[in-house]
Amino acid sequence: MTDVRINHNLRLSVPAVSARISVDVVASTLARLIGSHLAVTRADLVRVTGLARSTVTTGLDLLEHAGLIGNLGVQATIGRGRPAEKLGLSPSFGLILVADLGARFARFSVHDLGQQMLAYTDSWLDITDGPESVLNIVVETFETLISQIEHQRPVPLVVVIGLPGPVDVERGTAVKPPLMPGWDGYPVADTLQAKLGCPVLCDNDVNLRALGEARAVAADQSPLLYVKVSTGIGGGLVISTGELYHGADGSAADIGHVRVHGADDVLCMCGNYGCIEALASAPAILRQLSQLDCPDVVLPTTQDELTAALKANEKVTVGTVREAASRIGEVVADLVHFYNPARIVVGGGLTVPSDDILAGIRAVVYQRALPLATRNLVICHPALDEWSGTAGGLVLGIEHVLTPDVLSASLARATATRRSGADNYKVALAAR
Amino acid sequence: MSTPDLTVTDDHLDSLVSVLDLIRSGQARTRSGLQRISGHGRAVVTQRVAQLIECGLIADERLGPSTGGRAPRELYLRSNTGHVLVAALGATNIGVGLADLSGNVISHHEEPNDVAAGPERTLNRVEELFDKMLAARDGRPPAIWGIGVGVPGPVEFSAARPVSPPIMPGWDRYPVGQRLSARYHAASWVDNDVNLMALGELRAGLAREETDVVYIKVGTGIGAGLISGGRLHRGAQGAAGDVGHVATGDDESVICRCGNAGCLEAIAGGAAIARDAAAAAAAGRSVFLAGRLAERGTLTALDVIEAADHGDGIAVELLNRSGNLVGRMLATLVNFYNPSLVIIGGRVASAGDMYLATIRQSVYRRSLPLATRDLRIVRSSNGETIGLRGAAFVVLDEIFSRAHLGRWINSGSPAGMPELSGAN
Repeated sequence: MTDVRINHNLRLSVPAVSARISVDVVASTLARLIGSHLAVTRADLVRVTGLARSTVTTGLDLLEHAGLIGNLGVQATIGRGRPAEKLGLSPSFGLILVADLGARFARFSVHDLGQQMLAYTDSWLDITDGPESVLNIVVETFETLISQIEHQRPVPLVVVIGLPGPVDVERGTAVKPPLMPGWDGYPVADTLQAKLGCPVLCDNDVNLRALGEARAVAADQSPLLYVKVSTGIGGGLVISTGELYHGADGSAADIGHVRVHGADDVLCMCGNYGCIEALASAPAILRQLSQLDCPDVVLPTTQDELTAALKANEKVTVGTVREAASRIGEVVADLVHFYNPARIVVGGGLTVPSDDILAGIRAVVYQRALPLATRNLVICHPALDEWSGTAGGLVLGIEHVLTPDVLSASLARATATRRSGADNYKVALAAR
Repeated sequence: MSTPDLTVTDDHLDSLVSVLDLIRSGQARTRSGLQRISGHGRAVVTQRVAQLIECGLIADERLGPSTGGRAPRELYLRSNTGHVLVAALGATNIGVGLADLSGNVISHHEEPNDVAAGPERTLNRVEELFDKMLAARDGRPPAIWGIGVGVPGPVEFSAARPVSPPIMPGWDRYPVGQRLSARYHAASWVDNDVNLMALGELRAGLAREETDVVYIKVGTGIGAGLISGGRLHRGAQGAAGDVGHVATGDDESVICRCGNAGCLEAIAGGAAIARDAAAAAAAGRSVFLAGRLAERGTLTALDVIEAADHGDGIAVELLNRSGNLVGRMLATLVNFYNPSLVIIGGRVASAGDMYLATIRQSVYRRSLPLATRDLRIVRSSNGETIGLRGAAFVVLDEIFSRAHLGRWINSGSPAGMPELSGAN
């Protein structure tokens, strides 16, 4: 399976560097630039980082020695001179595993460091089955996927898992997730780490989508806000530096429980009244449709039927969905006032069958928000379609492998291997 | 004679900025402290400190507490080496001040002014007040290292000018920074007034240890300043924190200055409170307010606050309604932004504990429990000068930054270098 579903180069975040800092930091920066395809030749790296050629060479030597980067051929140069070597993160270094779990659906994928997807599988998976059962499936699925691919070093370097609820990123657990009974405080990262034998990063599913989108489009499209409209309503926020924003308790951008005006009698799953999720999510729309008195039309009663009705442009359903979209638009307009984002991505199951949600949100935002804040504001569907979450997970995973600390451990391991090789050789010599 | 090599290399500059930052923020007071916190070697720290002493930025004449053995020399910023001119323009008043290099406001003055009178009149007055303040200093007029200005509207920070400000007719793209830079021969930075209040609290006030903070100002209008990850968030067009125009859904008959109906500011801001109070007084619903209106011919939010203190029912109701609506907006902001601290400032918020309590009640009732688990909602520490302090820090953070320090460190002072800021 070699088809590339994430048809964008994903940018990695690159911290500013200078010399007289540890060589690990230099190496990390060089690796991130190479991995982002921002600079792939020695000359480019010197120019982009502003570091001395010798510093760049030292960093590259270390990376090459650790097996993290490799030569991907030559890049033709303009004018005379030797063609430049094109560098890339080494696909054979190891695997990045990404699990994007939604409320009813999960996508598992295996990637290499060069952002190539080696295998993936989708499955219907009910998150309410509880953490033991779901995490067992996660482990089995990854083991199956890894066994199917041909790879020089099929070792997982890191696992990234997205969960449909608030996540404590530091501890790797879900925190009071309304849609995930039994998951509150369950050690997701620790459990998976014990079974798969590599570090595990957890984040909210919409956060991963926001990150994936932000890194697939131009850097000036951040701050970026992702709004997901599906079984629930959620959000993810990427700040102007291209990094995810989690807030003080990790609940930032969880916009499903923002209250909308004039709906104080609608009870939400979270226990409050008038939350946007209780008014404009797919179950809320189905409930509103069931209360309508329209004997001439057959109205949808399940999410699949709702999708079909939207595709068929059934007018009563479309009207109800448009109304829900304008309620979401009110919330989004508030967020535009608060944060002045450059791009708002509207995604999730309910936005796939038709453009009604997008159009409804746009109409309210352009009417409500101040002209200055909407001058260059882009409100659109995801650039990566349903692959944004996987892309965000891949970005987090690669960046983890390339953090100075993790990188330093890889470099040390490579040095130790070489030294022990040399020692063995000496021992062998002495024995002769 | 060959000219000495004055270029400061990148890594040299990095260590210089980090050493200066640690001394400036008070995180390190001795050379050994600098080594420990910055991670630089002894030689680098000694050299950078020597360079900073030589150019007069820091001094080490005081002895610090001994930790056993010889007492170390304590390093401190020579705050009086240079000064920063600061101004905070509000909708109905202007404040000007002179700050030292530690961001302390050493003299300030405030007076009423209508910002809608246009940039010429307002800035003429600001310049007069600056001149008067400089002339009043004993001895030689102090060297001006930079100028910081806050304005009540969105700002294009890199160009130091307001953009499409709804309540400042005539100010759109007016080169505020450029004008002041030309007059005082120093670099200038312009920012939104509430952003500067948030920055003042972050650097020298209640938000010093925090990273994710929201500052809400309830004055004539309503605005917010956002700190994310310890840095000011200005937004893609400098319009972040424009919460005065959030829809309340409360009273769609009130048309806001921005052209929309039912904006928060048009119902809960100081001007709106004064308007509704005047209407109540005219309708004979409040004896206190009617008396005050007859006496002065006009009412302000401060009159309403005073009336509430005297137990006037209408005044209490107006302030409660404002607090409630601000609290509702804040609940949405808290859900979205998950800050650890919310600071309430501005004239109306000075109404006292009742107003703060109303806001708190709204926020805690309407936010997700996780988002308010560790949330604190407090009143601003120093309403009058916090905006001026913020204006000082926006300048200091820029001139001592990695981007700018290297351009002036060899001459010892950024005075007379208006080209440092993007405004020029």
